[in-house]
Amino acid sequence: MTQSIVIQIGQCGNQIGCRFWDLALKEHAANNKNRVYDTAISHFFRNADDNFAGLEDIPVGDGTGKIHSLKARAVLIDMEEGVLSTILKGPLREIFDHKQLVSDVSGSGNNWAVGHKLYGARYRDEILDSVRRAAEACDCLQCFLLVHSMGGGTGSGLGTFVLRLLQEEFPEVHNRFVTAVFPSAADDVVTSPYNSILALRQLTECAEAVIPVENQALQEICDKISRATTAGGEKNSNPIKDGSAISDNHHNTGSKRSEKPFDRMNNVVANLLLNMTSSARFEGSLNIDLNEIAMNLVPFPRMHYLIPGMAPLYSLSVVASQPRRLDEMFNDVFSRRHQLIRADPKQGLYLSCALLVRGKVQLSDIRRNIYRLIYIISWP
Amino acid sequence: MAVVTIQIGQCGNQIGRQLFSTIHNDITAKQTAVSSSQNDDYTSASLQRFFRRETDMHMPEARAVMVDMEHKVVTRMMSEANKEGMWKYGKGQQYFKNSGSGNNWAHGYLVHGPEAQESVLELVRREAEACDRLGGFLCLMSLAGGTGSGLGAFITGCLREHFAHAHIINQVVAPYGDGEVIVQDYNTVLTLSRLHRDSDAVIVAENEELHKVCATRLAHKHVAFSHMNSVLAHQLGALLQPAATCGRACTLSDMLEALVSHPDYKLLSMMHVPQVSNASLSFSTSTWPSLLARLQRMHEMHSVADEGFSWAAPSRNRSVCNLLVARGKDSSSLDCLPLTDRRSYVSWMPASCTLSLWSHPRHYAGLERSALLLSNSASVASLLDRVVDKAWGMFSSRAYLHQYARFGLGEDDFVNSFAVLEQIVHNYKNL
Repeated sequence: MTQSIVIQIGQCGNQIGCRFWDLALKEHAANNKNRVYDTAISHFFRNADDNFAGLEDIPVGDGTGKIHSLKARAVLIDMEEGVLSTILKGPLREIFDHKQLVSDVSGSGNNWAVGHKLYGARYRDEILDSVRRAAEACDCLQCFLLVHSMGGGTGSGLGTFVLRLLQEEFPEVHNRFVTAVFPSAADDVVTSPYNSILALRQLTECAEAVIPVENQALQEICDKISRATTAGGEKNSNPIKDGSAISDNHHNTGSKRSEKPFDRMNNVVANLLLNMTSSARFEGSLNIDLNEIAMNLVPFPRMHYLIPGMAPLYSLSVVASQPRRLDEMFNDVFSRRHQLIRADPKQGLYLSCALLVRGKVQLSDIRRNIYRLIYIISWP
Repeated sequence: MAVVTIQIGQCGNQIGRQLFSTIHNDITAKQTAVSSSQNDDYTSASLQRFFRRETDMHMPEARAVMVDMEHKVVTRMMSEANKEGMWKYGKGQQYFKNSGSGNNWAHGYLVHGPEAQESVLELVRREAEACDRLGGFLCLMSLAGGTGSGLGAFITGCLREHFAHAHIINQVVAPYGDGEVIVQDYNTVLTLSRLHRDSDAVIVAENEELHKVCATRLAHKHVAFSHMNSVLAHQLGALLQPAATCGRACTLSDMLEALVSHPDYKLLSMMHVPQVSNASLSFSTSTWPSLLARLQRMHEMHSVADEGFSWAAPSRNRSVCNLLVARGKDSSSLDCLPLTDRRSYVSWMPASCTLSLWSHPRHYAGLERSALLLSNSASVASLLDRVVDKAWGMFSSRAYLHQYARFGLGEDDFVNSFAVLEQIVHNYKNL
């Protein structure tokens, strides 16, 4: 029964975070029909009893208590008001506690120094307070998940400041996972290279593991999915199953909510975070949690950049095409088009590699594929 | 004689549950081909050995202590046992925490170990006191993970310290060669070096071999961990159920006397015949000579699976000593001459001690005749060699050491463990 705290910084971080919480709620709702507050949902959410003014927490107990009011274990930080106020007016406003928000008015002006040095110094105590409050509500805090961009000012500057702060103030929680969104070549921020380099140094020194994500790659993945949905002018004979694409909102209702521009790409990253933590929340025949991911994949302390790849991107409606899908899935996850950064894994040398398999996959299928793939990848 | 089982980590707990189910199914089996008084003797001895119950009305409770660093597996095993409804785990005989060990041996051994020491020893003491006559401890664990290997090694050390005269047998499971966990070789080396010092005997089972048994002999289309666990539990049951030698009942000390006569040679491997799937059970018959011939060949070829080896190739195995457990009709008058061939044993072992025979006329688990060979031989050398090679490869580039150093395990500890393992491999290779 472990818990993780998600810290989202900056515009990018908060938008991804927003999608993440949306999808997390939907995932738990699909798995938890009886609306009980069990250990799976306690990983990311607190069960707060809002009858008391002080928002008392209801512990999991034997896992059969009803859900009163879910509060996300999150800290939201942004130096301008736009994104946070949209979140607080949107459908997710109820799961955030106003004490978890740290905000300012003017923004960082795409300047790493403003984010890191100026706002860092000014808001250090407030941020520390929010994080400490969230940490005290946890029985057994396992890791911090930070989400921010590398190109901007707040995300990269203040985000890396928070990372350093966590390393100093919470040394026993050594699992600090950062999902860093790297700018693409066609980025609109002129100073993004400087911001990225300055932030990269902090990430190398303070983070346990960094999961880089590139906007360009996400865009290509979303294009691939939308090409598959609208292939050809006529009716597509094998359309994608509704809601199965990793860029989808999983909306089952008929009404179409207007989609914001980066939503599909953010959904992909949110799905990545959910899948990574799924084994810590739900049970399986071979459980692996974030401790183990960090332990196995990071052979040397500074070499902790983990390239994420996901497969399948969507599942087809016609089930008859499923049989070879499984082996194809293992092939795909090593292919260039399924990585969340623009890199070809087969061109490089693997230090270590982890396959997290979710769903109805038999052990023998996994072993068969491992035997096959071991020869395709190059090891030192 | 009673055996207290300590299940540690995810693997250990899953195997333990399977073991108790197998034993209970054997106890309540109908077709046993022995007189009812003999059957009653057997079942009461077996019940006494593995379960305790207050009166005949109560459900038997397993003599087990369940230890894990996260609660998911322990709660699941308990609920599976309850669902079966034939036996259950004692209330309060579980120890678990929340955080897991992260596949880190140092985390299990140096951090969780001391934390858990008091409570786990208390639970073990409670079980041991509930036994009329304590035969020994059986620890079930894996070698790859963090809890099973690290915490398991620590607990074995504690048991040795606190129960200095008790017999401690460890059943360890070695992971697939090409990896379940990247640091599995480190964890294996560190664990075995401690167990070699603290345990009386270590039975090594390999996931790869068990997988082969399931895939080839038992013809499972999709081999899952539950199949492999049941094969291992089946073998352990065949070993530990009541048996007799020279007219008296066998105990764990007989086993250790028969097999572990030299402190440098403690690693044992298990082979069991016949290996038939439930579907083919009613179609197969076997005779003692054929079973023994197969067993001998498997032993010579280091194969746990009864298939896939050549009958013509020369033997590649030398043993220190072996134990044969035969169950079924006429098992006590078995002709084990082929297995006592002097050439396949070391020269310093007197001929009368090379092979021990245990037997019982009752059918085991529905098999008309079955035989188990527990051998102290060079079969383990190849596994250890591979593991030590890989681990040394990683160690020479200092990979992952910072993860262990974080919990206080330095390079010296690694070097010492490597030295112990190298010595063991050397001993076995030069049998």
